[in-house]
Amino acid sequence: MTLDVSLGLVLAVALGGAAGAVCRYLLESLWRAGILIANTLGCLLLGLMIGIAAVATPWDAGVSALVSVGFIGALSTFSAVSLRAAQHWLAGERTVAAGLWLVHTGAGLGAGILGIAAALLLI
Amino acid sequence: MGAVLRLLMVELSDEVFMKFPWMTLAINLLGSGALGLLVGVSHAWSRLPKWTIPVLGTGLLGSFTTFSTVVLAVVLAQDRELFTLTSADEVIPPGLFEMVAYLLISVIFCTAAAAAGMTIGRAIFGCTGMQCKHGGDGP
Repeated sequence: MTLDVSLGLVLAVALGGAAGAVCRYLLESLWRAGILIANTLGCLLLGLMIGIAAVATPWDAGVSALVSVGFIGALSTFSAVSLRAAQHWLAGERTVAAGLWLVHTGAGLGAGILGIAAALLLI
Repeated sequence: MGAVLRLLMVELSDEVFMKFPWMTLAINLLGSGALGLLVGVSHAWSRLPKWTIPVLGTGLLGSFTTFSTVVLAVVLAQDRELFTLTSADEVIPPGLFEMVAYLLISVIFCTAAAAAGMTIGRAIFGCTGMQCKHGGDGP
Protein backbone atom coordinates (compact mmCIF):
# COMPACT_ATOMS: atom_id res chain seq x y z
CA MET A 1 0.00 0.00 0.00
CA THR A 2 1.42 3.35 -1.03
CA LEU A 3 -0.17 6.71 -0.61
CA ASP A 4 1.41 9.15 -3.03
CA VAL A 5 -0.81 12.17 -2.53
CA SER A 6 0.46 15.71 -2.03
CA LEU A 7 -1.42 18.57 -0.44
CA GLY A 8 -1.52 20.31 -3.81
CA LEU A 9 -3.20 17.28 -5.39
CA VAL A 10 -5.82 17.17 -2.62
CA LEU A 11 -6.53 20.87 -3.06
CA ALA A 12 -6.79 20.47 -6.84
CA VAL A 13 -9.28 17.60 -6.51
CA ALA A 14 -11.25 19.49 -3.84
CA LEU A 15 -11.52 22.53 -6.14
CA GLY A 16 -12.55 20.48 -9.18
CA GLY A 17 -14.91 18.35 -7.08
CA ALA A 18 -16.70 21.38 -5.64
CA ALA A 19 -17.19 22.85 -9.13
CA GLY A 20 -18.47 19.51 -10.46
CA ALA A 21 -20.92 19.06 -7.60
CA VAL A 22 -22.30 22.61 -8.02
CA CYS A 23 -22.75 22.07 -11.78
CA ARG A 24 -24.60 18.80 -11.12
CA TYR A 25 -26.80 20.46 -8.49
CA LEU A 26 -27.73 23.22 -10.96
CA LEU A 27 -28.50 20.73 -13.75
CA GLU A 28 -30.56 18.67 -11.30
CA SER A 29 -32.64 21.64 -10.13
CA LEU A 30 -33.17 22.99 -13.65
CA TRP A 31 -34.24 19.81 -15.45
CA ARG A 32 -35.82 16.53 -14.50
CA ALA A 33 -33.24 14.71 -16.58
CA GLY A 34 -30.41 16.74 -14.99
CA ILE A 35 -28.59 13.69 -13.60
CA LEU A 36 -28.69 12.02 -17.03
CA ILE A 37 -27.24 15.17 -18.61
CA ALA A 38 -24.53 15.37 -15.90
CA ASN A 39 -23.56 11.70 -16.29
CA THR A 40 -23.53 11.79 -20.11
CA LEU A 41 -21.54 15.04 -20.10
CA GLY A 42 -19.09 13.51 -17.58
CA CYS A 43 -18.52 10.48 -19.80
CA LEU A 44 -18.04 12.68 -22.89
CA LEU A 45 -15.51 14.91 -21.10
CA LEU A 46 -13.59 11.98 -19.59
CA GLY A 47 -13.51 10.32 -23.02
CA LEU A 48 -12.12 13.55 -24.51
CA MET A 49 -9.48 13.82 -21.77
CA ILE A 50 -8.37 10.21 -22.22
CA GLY A 51 -8.33 10.60 -26.00
CA ILE A 52 -6.15 13.71 -25.74
CA ALA A 53 -3.86 12.05 -23.18
CA ALA A 54 -3.38 9.10 -25.59
CA VAL A 55 -1.72 11.29 -28.22
CA ALA A 56 -0.33 14.24 -26.29
CA THR A 57 0.18 15.39 -22.69
CA PRO A 58 -0.61 19.10 -22.76
CA TRP A 59 -1.21 19.33 -18.99
CA ASP A 60 0.55 18.21 -15.80
CA ALA A 61 -0.65 15.71 -13.21
CA GLY A 62 -2.28 18.36 -11.00
CA VAL A 63 -4.46 19.78 -13.77
CA SER A 64 -5.36 16.27 -14.91
CA ALA A 65 -6.46 15.30 -11.37
CA LEU A 66 -8.39 18.57 -10.93
CA VAL A 67 -10.41 17.95 -14.10
CA SER A 68 -10.74 14.14 -14.20
CA VAL A 69 -10.86 12.96 -10.56
CA GLY A 70 -12.30 16.25 -9.27
CA PHE A 71 -14.62 17.95 -11.74
CA ILE A 72 -15.71 15.05 -13.97
CA GLY A 73 -15.77 12.56 -11.07
CA ALA A 74 -18.06 14.78 -9.02
CA LEU A 75 -20.17 15.92 -11.99
CA SER A 76 -21.12 12.33 -12.76
CA THR A 77 -22.76 10.34 -9.98
CA PHE A 78 -23.77 6.77 -9.28
CA SER A 79 -25.67 7.07 -6.00
CA ALA A 80 -28.45 9.34 -7.30
CA VAL A 81 -29.22 6.89 -10.12
CA SER A 82 -29.08 3.92 -7.71
CA LEU A 83 -31.50 5.68 -5.39
CA ARG A 84 -34.00 6.55 -8.10
CA ALA A 85 -33.82 3.04 -9.56
CA ALA A 86 -34.30 1.56 -6.06
CA GLN A 87 -37.34 3.79 -5.47
CA HIS A 88 -38.93 2.65 -8.75
CA TRP A 89 -38.08 -0.98 -7.97
CA LEU A 90 -39.58 -0.83 -4.47
CA ALA A 91 -42.71 0.84 -5.88
CA GLY A 92 -43.15 -2.16 -8.19
CA GLU A 93 -42.10 -0.30 -11.35
CA ARG A 94 -39.34 -2.73 -12.27
CA THR A 95 -39.19 -1.97 -15.99
CA VAL A 96 -38.80 1.73 -15.18
CA ALA A 97 -35.86 0.92 -12.86
CA ALA A 98 -34.18 -1.27 -15.48
CA GLY A 99 -34.91 1.27 -18.22
CA LEU A 100 -33.37 4.07 -16.15
CA TRP A 101 -30.08 2.18 -15.90
CA LEU A 102 -30.23 1.18 -19.56
CA VAL A 103 -30.59 4.83 -20.63
CA HIS A 104 -27.79 5.99 -18.30
CA THR A 105 -25.28 3.29 -19.31
CA GLY A 106 -26.23 3.47 -22.98
CA ALA A 107 -25.85 7.25 -23.14
CA GLY A 108 -22.66 7.08 -21.03
CA LEU A 109 -21.00 4.43 -23.20
CA GLY A 110 -21.95 6.29 -26.38
CA ALA A 111 -20.66 9.60 -25.03
CA GLY A 112 -17.41 8.00 -23.79
CA ILE A 113 -16.67 6.40 -27.18
CA LEU A 114 -17.62 9.64 -28.96
CA GLY A 115 -15.28 11.63 -26.68
CA ILE A 116 -12.29 9.36 -27.34
CA ALA A 117 -12.99 9.21 -31.08
CA ALA A 118 -13.40 13.00 -31.32
CA ALA A 119 -10.11 13.62 -29.49
CA LEU A 120 -8.23 11.12 -31.65
CA LEU A 121 -9.70 12.53 -34.87
CA LEU A 122 -9.09 16.19 -34.03
CA ILE A 123 -5.48 15.84 -32.83
CA MET B 1 -15.45 16.50 0.44
CA GLY B 2 -16.67 13.56 -1.58
CA ALA B 3 -14.17 13.83 -4.44
CA VAL B 4 -11.17 14.06 -2.08
CA LEU B 5 -12.37 11.02 -0.14
CA ARG B 6 -12.66 9.11 -3.42
CA LEU B 7 -9.14 10.23 -4.47
CA LEU B 8 -7.67 9.03 -1.17
CA MET B 9 -9.43 5.65 -1.30
CA VAL B 10 -8.45 5.03 -4.94
CA GLU B 11 -4.82 6.03 -4.30
CA LEU B 12 -4.62 4.03 -1.07
CA SER B 13 -5.91 0.87 -2.75
CA ASP B 14 -3.43 1.10 -5.67
CA GLU B 15 -6.27 0.72 -8.15
CA VAL B 16 -3.89 1.11 -11.14
CA PHE B 17 -2.60 -2.40 -10.42
CA MET B 18 -6.07 -3.97 -10.52
CA LYS B 19 -7.68 -5.57 -13.56
CA PHE B 20 -11.06 -4.11 -12.57
CA PRO B 21 -11.62 -0.82 -10.70
CA TRP B 22 -12.70 -2.56 -7.49
CA MET B 23 -12.25 0.43 -5.22
CA THR B 24 -14.57 2.47 -7.46
CA LEU B 25 -17.16 -0.29 -7.10
CA ALA B 26 -16.72 -0.25 -3.31
CA ILE B 27 -17.10 3.55 -3.28
CA ASN B 28 -20.29 3.36 -5.39
CA LEU B 29 -21.76 0.60 -3.20
CA LEU B 30 -20.96 2.52 -0.01
CA GLY B 31 -22.24 5.83 -1.41
CA SER B 32 -25.45 4.33 -2.82
CA GLY B 33 -26.20 2.54 0.46
CA ALA B 34 -25.52 5.68 2.50
CA LEU B 35 -27.73 7.84 0.24
CA GLY B 36 -30.54 5.27 0.54
CA LEU B 37 -30.16 5.32 4.33
CA LEU B 38 -30.24 9.13 4.42
CA VAL B 39 -33.37 9.34 2.25
CA GLY B 40 -35.03 6.51 4.25
CA VAL B 41 -34.40 8.42 7.48
CA SER B 42 -35.78 11.61 5.91
CA HIS B 43 -38.99 9.77 4.99
CA ALA B 44 -39.64 8.47 8.47
CA TRP B 45 -38.13 11.13 10.71
CA SER B 46 -39.61 14.58 10.16
CA ARG B 47 -37.14 16.31 12.50
CA LEU B 48 -34.21 15.72 10.16
CA PRO B 49 -32.95 19.19 9.11
CA LYS B 50 -33.94 20.23 5.57
CA TRP B 51 -30.34 20.88 4.46
CA THR B 52 -29.15 17.30 4.99
CA ILE B 53 -30.41 15.88 1.64
CA PRO B 54 -28.88 18.57 -0.63
CA VAL B 55 -25.65 18.91 1.39
CA LEU B 56 -24.91 15.32 2.41
CA GLY B 57 -26.86 13.58 -0.36
CA THR B 58 -26.30 15.63 -3.51
CA GLY B 59 -23.06 17.25 -2.39
CA LEU B 60 -21.02 14.73 -0.40
CA LEU B 61 -22.35 11.35 -1.55
CA GLY B 62 -23.07 12.56 -5.10
CA SER B 63 -19.44 13.61 -5.54
CA PHE B 64 -18.09 10.59 -3.67
CA THR B 65 -19.71 8.14 -6.09
CA THR B 66 -18.90 8.42 -9.79
CA PHE B 67 -20.34 7.19 -13.06
CA SER B 68 -17.79 8.31 -15.66
CA THR B 69 -14.95 6.14 -14.26
CA VAL B 70 -17.11 3.01 -14.43
CA VAL B 71 -18.31 3.66 -18.00
CA LEU B 72 -14.92 4.69 -19.34
CA ALA B 73 -13.29 1.62 -17.73
CA VAL B 74 -15.56 -0.52 -19.92
CA VAL B 75 -14.50 1.40 -23.05
CA LEU B 76 -10.77 1.54 -22.19
CA ALA B 77 -10.51 -2.21 -21.60
CA GLN B 78 -11.28 -2.76 -25.30
CA ASP B 79 -8.00 -1.15 -26.38
CA ARG B 80 -4.56 -2.20 -25.03
CA GLU B 81 -2.96 1.19 -25.67
CA LEU B 82 -5.75 3.22 -24.05
CA PHE B 83 -5.91 0.80 -21.11
CA THR B 84 -2.28 1.52 -20.16
CA LEU B 85 -3.17 5.21 -19.70
CA THR B 86 -5.11 4.46 -16.54
CA SER B 87 -3.60 1.13 -15.46
CA ALA B 88 -0.10 -0.19 -14.73
CA ASP B 89 1.70 -1.73 -17.73
CA GLU B 90 1.69 -5.28 -16.39
CA VAL B 91 -2.10 -5.47 -15.94
CA ILE B 92 -3.90 -7.43 -18.66
CA PRO B 93 -7.09 -5.65 -19.81
CA PRO B 94 -10.31 -7.60 -19.23
CA GLY B 95 -12.44 -8.71 -22.18
CA LEU B 96 -15.72 -7.14 -23.28
CA PHE B 97 -17.78 -9.88 -21.65
CA GLU B 98 -15.95 -9.45 -18.32
CA MET B 99 -16.41 -5.67 -18.41
CA VAL B 100 -20.14 -6.00 -19.15
CA ALA B 101 -20.34 -8.32 -16.13
CA TYR B 102 -18.53 -5.68 -14.04
CA LEU B 103 -21.02 -3.04 -15.22
CA LEU B 104 -24.00 -5.28 -14.40
CA ILE B 105 -22.58 -6.03 -10.93
CA SER B 106 -22.15 -2.29 -10.32
CA VAL B 107 -25.69 -1.45 -11.43
CA ILE B 108 -27.53 -4.30 -9.68
CA PHE B 109 -25.68 -4.25 -6.37
CA CYS B 110 -25.64 -0.45 -6.05
CA THR B 111 -29.41 -0.35 -6.64
CA ALA B 112 -29.82 -3.11 -4.06
CA ALA B 113 -27.60 -1.18 -1.63
CA ALA B 114 -29.75 1.94 -2.08
CA ALA B 115 -32.96 -0.07 -1.59
CA ALA B 116 -31.54 -1.75 1.52
CA GLY B 117 -30.30 1.56 2.91
CA MET B 118 -33.68 3.19 2.36
CA THR B 119 -35.56 0.31 4.01
CA ILE B 120 -33.17 0.28 7.00
CA GLY B 121 -33.36 4.08 7.33
CA ARG B 122 -37.16 3.95 7.55
CA ALA B 123 -37.16 0.92 9.84
CA ILE B 124 -34.86 2.65 12.38
CA PHE B 125 -37.64 5.19 12.89
CA GLY B 126 -40.39 2.61 13.10
CA CYS B 127 -41.64 2.67 9.54
CA THR B 128 -41.66 -0.73 7.86
CA GLY B 129 -44.28 -0.29 5.13
CA MET B 130 -44.17 1.83 1.96
CA GLN B 131 -46.25 4.64 3.53
CA CYS B 132 -44.72 6.40 6.53
CA LYS B 133 -46.66 8.12 9.30
CA HIS B 134 -44.71 11.37 9.07
CA GLY B 135 -44.74 11.25 5.31
CA GLY B 136 -41.63 13.40 4.88
CA ASP B 137 -41.25 14.98 1.45
CA GLY B 138 -38.43 12.82 0.12
CA PRO B 139 -37.48 13.02 -3.57
